[in-house]
Amino acid sequence: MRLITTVNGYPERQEIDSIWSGYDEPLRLDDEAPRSKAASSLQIEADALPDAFQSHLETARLILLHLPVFTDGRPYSLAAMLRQHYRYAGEIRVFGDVRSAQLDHLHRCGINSFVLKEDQDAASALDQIGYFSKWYQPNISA
Amino acid sequence: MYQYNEADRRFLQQRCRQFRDQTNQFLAGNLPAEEFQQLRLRNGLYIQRLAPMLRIAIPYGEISAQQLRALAAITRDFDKGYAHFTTRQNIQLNWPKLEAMPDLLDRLADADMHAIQTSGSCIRNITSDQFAGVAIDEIADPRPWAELLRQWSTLHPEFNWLPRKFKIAITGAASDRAAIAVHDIGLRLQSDDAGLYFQVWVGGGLGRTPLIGVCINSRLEPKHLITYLTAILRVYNQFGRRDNKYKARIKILVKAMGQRAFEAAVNNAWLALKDGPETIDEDSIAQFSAHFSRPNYLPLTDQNAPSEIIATDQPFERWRAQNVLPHQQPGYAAVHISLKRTGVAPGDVSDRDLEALADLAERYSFGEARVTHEQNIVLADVEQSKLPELFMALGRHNLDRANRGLATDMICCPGGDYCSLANAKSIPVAAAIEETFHDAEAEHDLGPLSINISGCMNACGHHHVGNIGILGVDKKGEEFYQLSIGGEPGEDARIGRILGPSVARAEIHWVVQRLTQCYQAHRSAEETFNQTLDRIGIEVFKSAAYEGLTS
Ligand code: SF4
Repeated sequence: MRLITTVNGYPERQEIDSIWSGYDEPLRLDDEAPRSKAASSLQIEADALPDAFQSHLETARLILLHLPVFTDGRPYSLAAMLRQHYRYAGEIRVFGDVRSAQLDHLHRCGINSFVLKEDQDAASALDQIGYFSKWYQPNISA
Repeated sequence: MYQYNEADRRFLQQRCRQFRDQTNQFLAGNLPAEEFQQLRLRNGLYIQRLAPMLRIAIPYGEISAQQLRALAAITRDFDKGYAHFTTRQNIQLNWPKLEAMPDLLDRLADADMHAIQTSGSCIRNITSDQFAGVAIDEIADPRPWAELLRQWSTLHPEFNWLPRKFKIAITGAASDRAAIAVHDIGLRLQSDDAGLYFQVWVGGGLGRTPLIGVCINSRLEPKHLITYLTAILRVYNQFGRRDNKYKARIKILVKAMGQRAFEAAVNNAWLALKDGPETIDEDSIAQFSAHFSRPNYLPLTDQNAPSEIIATDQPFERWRAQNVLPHQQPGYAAVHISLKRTGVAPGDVSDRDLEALADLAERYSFGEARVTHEQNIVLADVEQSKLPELFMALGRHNLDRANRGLATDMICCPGGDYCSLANAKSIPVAAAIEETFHDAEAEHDLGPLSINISGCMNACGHHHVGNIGILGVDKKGEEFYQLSIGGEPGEDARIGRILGPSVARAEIHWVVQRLTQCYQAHRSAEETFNQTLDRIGIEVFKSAAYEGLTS
């Protein structure tokens, strides 16, 4: 896990239907930041253990969740746990190998903003959300 | 059986449309091959040695006559007029064309069928007991729970990208015909004074590292089934290895963490879920159960004497003794139909066979049939008085072989004839063994014996749990076979032990025969193969197999 604090606060809270095409880089890597300092935004790698950053969840407004490769299922569970287990209610923004076909599942796990991979089409990505009129599981909401 | 409602149908249609879009995108060059591969796998489509292969789900093995007919027509229209029943109660087509897949899936959807999650690193078809709802040793019918799990696992948002495939089996009977101990999760319905509960086993599996599962919850209230399974999957999704696909199954994780630590991690993950929105309420249990209510049985009594017409007919008597099983309902029987026939690959059926099975299911068994993990068919609700008639009808379709559980009732994967992962062929090995044990008299004298054949380490033929297990290996480009003996599926599941050096294709059936002769020479009265093996030791079998008879 890497803890990242921002220089100029957290970015605007994004609504569900807001999609960045291409990588947006709002944050500065700051590994030197004292661990005790309350973070307002966290970047979470797929192998992160929530217990390790739990203490920051109360102050955090933005969680950047890294999807290293589209076949990696861990960020889905991380997002679900952040919502269900840790009751985190802020923004969860996924970035990395984020492809249109996955948006619906990511969304249904409680992720509410997405940094699409550059070559993905934003319009067709949005179409994926709500593609199905029925699901067999309850959705995890933000 | 479960009846689709309009919402289920719309869901399937949407899934088909989505796959059509994806296929078009791929064919137009707009979807990268590595991404399309994952999407098509989750719709059952592999690219095999000779052509694509489509695996169609038959949830917990239950299929209607209409669905059998739809499959028959599909094998004709999209394939070469035959299909193969697998060891996970599914059916495979060997020659579909990628371009035709969207139309094929539409046709399946018209019959309330699909190929969702029959491959890929996700939760696969839920398997169960082929005698569910009729077995006399049943504690509770597992099908409502199997259907509930089918729905829950279908396009589950969190568990579509697991470290590896994930197989769940469920049984509700005293004797375990679903082999739950060799599944990623095995569920066993039990009951006591306080009511029904589940025993939850995890970490079983065959393949490269065969392991018997461990019980991590010996009393789970049914209402917690989904939240508890979510917790297991969540731990696996988070901690299962993703760096090495041979170490990615949950069994490796359970072993690495240790049973206690794994259990604790599951319980911790469960805290956030238990009693939450996915807790199963009484109403939905009742709704699911209503789909599996008993058919309209006639008030009959059990018949001891077979019908007079062919009372002296020995083939019928033999078939009845071997392939007909007792039933919960007086006057009814469950009938096992063998798909292990001379000259036909184990588990293979033609379009005509499928139609014949559909007709027979309609005429004799309330329009339903079951697929078994041993690659056979069951008609679960046959009136005892109609058995002679059914036997004759089966005979007309070459479906009357009386070999349930005998040497020729082999479990066999498609192997090198079809599968691109194979080290060696398995179908010709099955054919050679079939020829060796062809004599029905001799086969009956030999008695119950399971022979399982896999073309590679992936163990689709479950060779580890066969009394005699045969595994195809590659020896400098030549097909060789490694033998193991003493395996057992079911409630006393155990993994067979390797016998010795592997043998060439030309000799494998002789070695199998020498093993059975060794068993016959040493067995006492009612001893099974494994009991004899346990008593006299593997060395005796080993020398018999490699050096000829010992007595
Ligand atoms: S055991 Fe191997 S050869 Fe046989 S079907 Fe499975 S993957 Fe293919």
